[in-house]
Amino acid sequence: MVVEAGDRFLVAAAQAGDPHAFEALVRRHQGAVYRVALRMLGSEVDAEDAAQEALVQAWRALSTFRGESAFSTWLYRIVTNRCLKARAARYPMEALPDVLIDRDSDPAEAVAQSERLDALARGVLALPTEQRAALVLRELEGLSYEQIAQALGVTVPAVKGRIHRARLGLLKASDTWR
Amino acid sequence: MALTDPSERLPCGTKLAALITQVAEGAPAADPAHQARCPYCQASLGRIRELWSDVRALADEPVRAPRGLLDEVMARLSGPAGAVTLRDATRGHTQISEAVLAGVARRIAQAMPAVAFASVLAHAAGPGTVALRVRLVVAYGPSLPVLAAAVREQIVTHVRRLTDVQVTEVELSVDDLAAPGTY
Repeated sequence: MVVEAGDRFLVAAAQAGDPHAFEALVRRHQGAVYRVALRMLGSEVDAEDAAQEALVQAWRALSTFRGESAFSTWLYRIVTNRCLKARAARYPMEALPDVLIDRDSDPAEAVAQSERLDALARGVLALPTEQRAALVLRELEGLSYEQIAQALGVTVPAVKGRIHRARLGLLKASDTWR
Repeated sequence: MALTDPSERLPCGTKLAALITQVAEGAPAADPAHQARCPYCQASLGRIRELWSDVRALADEPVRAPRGLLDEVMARLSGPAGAVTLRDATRGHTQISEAVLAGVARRIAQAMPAVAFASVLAHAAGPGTVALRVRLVVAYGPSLPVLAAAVREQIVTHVRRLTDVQVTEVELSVDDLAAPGTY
């Protein structure tokens, strides 16, 4: 999922002041940055704003990146912080983007699954923000506990606690749509 | 907080959180023998598995960055601000920005087969002249000194041809070997 090979060169070139190298980094990582913002904020417009702000901020703060974590983890940190600071997600929220419908499967089941995934995404949005951030990075982005701890600036046990609570909260909330 | 108390237990004494972790992390059951015959555990595991199948489907949904995001970000970045003024000024001055000179040199370098990625910074050295800092990622294979000399030669020749700017210096480094498909 995350392309680390080559990031080191591109980061060094971008840190030296080459916007083109940074453009290559944005090209690699914008999908992940936007995805996190979308799951954190719920609206495509808000997610695009947050992703744009996060990436511009990354360029400006590039000299502070020392390579102690992967570049992708550093970006996750910036976009997550931005989303945590953004106004609380609206709930009920705007329509979610259309989900992929598997055309080979039963259409009725595909619609039912699509509705369940919409409800699930809303359930994620209804979680307390810090739990939501940890859950999104773990369940939807597949980061390790250590990477999440780096991205959120908290300890691994704190991350585990948040994820436990978020999962439990999601399970309880799913009673209303399952 | 009571709703999501991580120590919440099923009537059989099993922690609900342990069952969730078992499904979400693919962890082994703490007490497989109990779990296999306990209706509370089985009912909870069933619900958790259904929910997590949806969680994984949500994670697999193809969410792509909006088309304009990259351009919007790049438009807001501050790049090099300097420019080279061309010597010939018979009917007004011509300036070529450092960013444009870097872009021209980068394209020339990247057009060479063994160059996977080129990063170029340009610094105006004086009227009609520029100094370049070139960082390369190259494919494994060619002799690096030969390649470096060829890149330098191409850049000096074609920057001159395309911009009428004299390249006074090409500080060049080969910084990485490209794994196939990396750049």
